[in-house]
Amino acid sequence: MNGDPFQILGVSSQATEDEIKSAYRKLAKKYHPDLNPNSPTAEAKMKEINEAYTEAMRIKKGGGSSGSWYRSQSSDYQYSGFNNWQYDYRPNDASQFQPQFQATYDYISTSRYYDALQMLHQIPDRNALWNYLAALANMGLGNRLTAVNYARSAYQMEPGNAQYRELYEQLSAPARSYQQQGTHYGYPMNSLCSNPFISCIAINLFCNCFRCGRCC
Amino acid sequence: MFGYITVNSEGLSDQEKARYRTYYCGLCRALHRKYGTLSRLTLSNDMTFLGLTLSSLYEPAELQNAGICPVHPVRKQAYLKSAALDYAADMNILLSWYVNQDHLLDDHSANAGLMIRRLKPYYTELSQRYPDKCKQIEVCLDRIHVLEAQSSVQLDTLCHLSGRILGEVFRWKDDIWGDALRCIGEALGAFIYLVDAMDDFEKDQRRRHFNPLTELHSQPDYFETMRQSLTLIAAQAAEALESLPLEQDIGLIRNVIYSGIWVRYEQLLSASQKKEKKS
Repeated sequence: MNGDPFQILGVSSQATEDEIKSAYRKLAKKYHPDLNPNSPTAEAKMKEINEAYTEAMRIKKGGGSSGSWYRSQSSDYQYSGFNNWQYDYRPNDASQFQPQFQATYDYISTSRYYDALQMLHQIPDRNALWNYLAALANMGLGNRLTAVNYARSAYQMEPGNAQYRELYEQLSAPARSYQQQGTHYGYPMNSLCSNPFISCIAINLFCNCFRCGRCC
Repeated sequence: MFGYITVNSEGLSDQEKARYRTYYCGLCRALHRKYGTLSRLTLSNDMTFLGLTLSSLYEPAELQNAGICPVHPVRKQAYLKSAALDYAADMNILLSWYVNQDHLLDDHSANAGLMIRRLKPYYTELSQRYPDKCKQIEVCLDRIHVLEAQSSVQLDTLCHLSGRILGEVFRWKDDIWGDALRCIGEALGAFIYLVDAMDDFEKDQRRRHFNPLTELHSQPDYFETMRQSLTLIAAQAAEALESLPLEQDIGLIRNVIYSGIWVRYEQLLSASQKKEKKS
């Protein structure tokens, strides 16, 4: 794309995300292929505003998005999860470092996450450090749900450890921003049992049809 | 189908509720028109949300109409007709086919057998129209079956595979929005898998069927752990959704993503709390 994406969309670089969306919509309506059949100019313009929109939103998000949650778990488990990590995850409490923990850590730092997990399975004492390393190894494999649960256990076992807290906070950061945003749109909810839309959700297929009559 | 991807009607104005209904009825009509009356039984909120989101994103030509139907024989109901809802109807049938296959395999259910016989010709047609989607979905389903048969509790992998199925369904076209849509679908698919596993937990225990939450369920903070996992997954859906230029019906769409998808979880939670109080 050539040129400033904000200029192409006709908004200032200070515009909010909603303003960018709105500006995009107006232009997209104008140059929509359905309204401009067989017009190469409109087609080129549409391509330009699509790219400008994507770029403007990327800039607004502070460059790059965290991408797909589940795509990070590749089918062959070769994903290296530490590329974007911004802090030193090496455990700093060396006094706890039994040889097996050291070996686990060495596997993690060389992206051998499966070996790290195997090693962890042989350690009977599942202390905070164990949970911390299990979180890192699972993170490396793209097992984010498992990773967060271990990170939480490590933090709960040793709330005073800044490193455990940092890992847990980093892994659960998307959840916090979702909850924050959700407060504007009805999350969390109260008194749901009266919700008619799913009052018969689990009953059976037939309900699906008749539900329409009662509630929606 | 599951129907967990729904609206929380409490947060909606009457106007928004009516608008949602035009999509719901529109999908029902599309199913009837394309796949016959019996196909209406497969109507789902999940695919209504797909139709709603695709309509907002692509703004296809929409035709609003009103009419009576077997469920509403007297009062006319407003409904929409659009290419997005037609696609949602296709996906509704396709997913119903796979879900019923699953039921037949798991519990030899007679209803499922009946539906399968009924849906077979439509599945054949759809598998020719969407060969890549069907292939991807079937690969994922096969892997899920293998893992479940081994009683494997690789929760992330199971969520990931289920997510990929809905990811294929959400990606309507191969254009610049394809990836974000797939991402929303992947998250919602994983979300559905987990809520469904919570929902079926007791039934699975009774029948001694595999349930991926068996280990987690025995822990004291089961519901809190599940809420955390579900929140992380929902956050991905929300992030991808907010990256799209959606304006039309954005209130409805956000209601689903931030609130509606939690309805079943909250019901399960309050049921479990009531049970605890009793005992």
